[in-house]
Amino acid sequence: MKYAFFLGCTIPYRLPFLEASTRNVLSKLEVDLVDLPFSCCPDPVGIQSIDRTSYLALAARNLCIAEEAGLDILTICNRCFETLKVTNEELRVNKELRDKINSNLAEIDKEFKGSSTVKHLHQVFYDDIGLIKIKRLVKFPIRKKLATHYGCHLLRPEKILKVDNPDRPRSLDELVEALGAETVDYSQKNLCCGAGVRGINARNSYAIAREKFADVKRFGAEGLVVTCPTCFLQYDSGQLIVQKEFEEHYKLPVYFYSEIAALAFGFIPEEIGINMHRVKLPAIT
Amino acid sequence: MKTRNLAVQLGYKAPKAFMKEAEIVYESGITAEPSKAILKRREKLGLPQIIQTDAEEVKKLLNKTGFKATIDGQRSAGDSQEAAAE
Repeated sequence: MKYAFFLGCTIPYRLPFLEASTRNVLSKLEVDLVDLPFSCCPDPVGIQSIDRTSYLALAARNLCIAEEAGLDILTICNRCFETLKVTNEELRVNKELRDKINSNLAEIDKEFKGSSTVKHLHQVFYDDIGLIKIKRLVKFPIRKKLATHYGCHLLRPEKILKVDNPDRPRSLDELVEALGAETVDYSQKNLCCGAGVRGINARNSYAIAREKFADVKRFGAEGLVVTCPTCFLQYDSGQLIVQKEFEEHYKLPVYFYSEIAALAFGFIPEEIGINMHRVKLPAIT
Repeated sequence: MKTRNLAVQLGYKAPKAFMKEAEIVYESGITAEPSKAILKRREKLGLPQIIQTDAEEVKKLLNKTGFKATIDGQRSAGDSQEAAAE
């Protein structure tokens, strides 16, 4: 398997340790990654709200870069995934919209053809590599009770993204269980992380995160597993803000899926920079 | 989404965080710049250099779509709404 690696902005510029665990795990799984000169995806909340034509055109430029390299895109960010996947599908089926976007792309000598596909890392783990192969690679099972958080942009719009049932998702739980961990169901499993409203009302944003922390703890989970860097930031760095704003200490470890996979596969913490989290982590294997 | 876009076109003020993000994307093609600390961490983790996008090409595309004009329109709408409030 070989993919154009779409990192987005948050991971390389703020959370490089998530990139490290992903590159290590995918190398172990014999997935080749090609780095290309992509721009911002762009953001499906802010930029799309301002001007959807510009949003689609910039996303289509990224799709063109992958098409020119003859590669499908693999992204490890939920927001990038929604932007690129939705743009790809909409432009493929809607000729009028495709012509409009291509008339803009002609300005930079590019043309969207629709020859590449877009996948989230979660889909590569679950659909392409599969639970059996992942289980086979586990050297040090994860001995923890973990809660999962899928994130809004991984699951909706359901008909286009086609990742899992957005009301009762199970695939990430199965991936976590494949590493030896026990997963915990909890009542606020589908609650948004709150990051989307951070730029408008920070206190409300962290109040949403606080509700998740309280619920995850109430159901006995010892950590939270995410698939999105924005959710990761909201729950990891955000926990320190919740602590300050609401005077509540949750001490809830937050993991990106590729981090616990890396530890289970035998990578040492220093190789994946897991000590760079803001919330301190216990040994989990 | 159409309603939000229309509101922006009509000069209703978009959230500051959205407009700041829009300006950064227009200027550089990305929403973040690596700090020295992050570059050091990348090196420590053995990560490859980040391949930069062609920021001028992004600007050219966003000029064509009218994004720059929208940003400028928002800036002047914001100024006049703030002046009216004062």
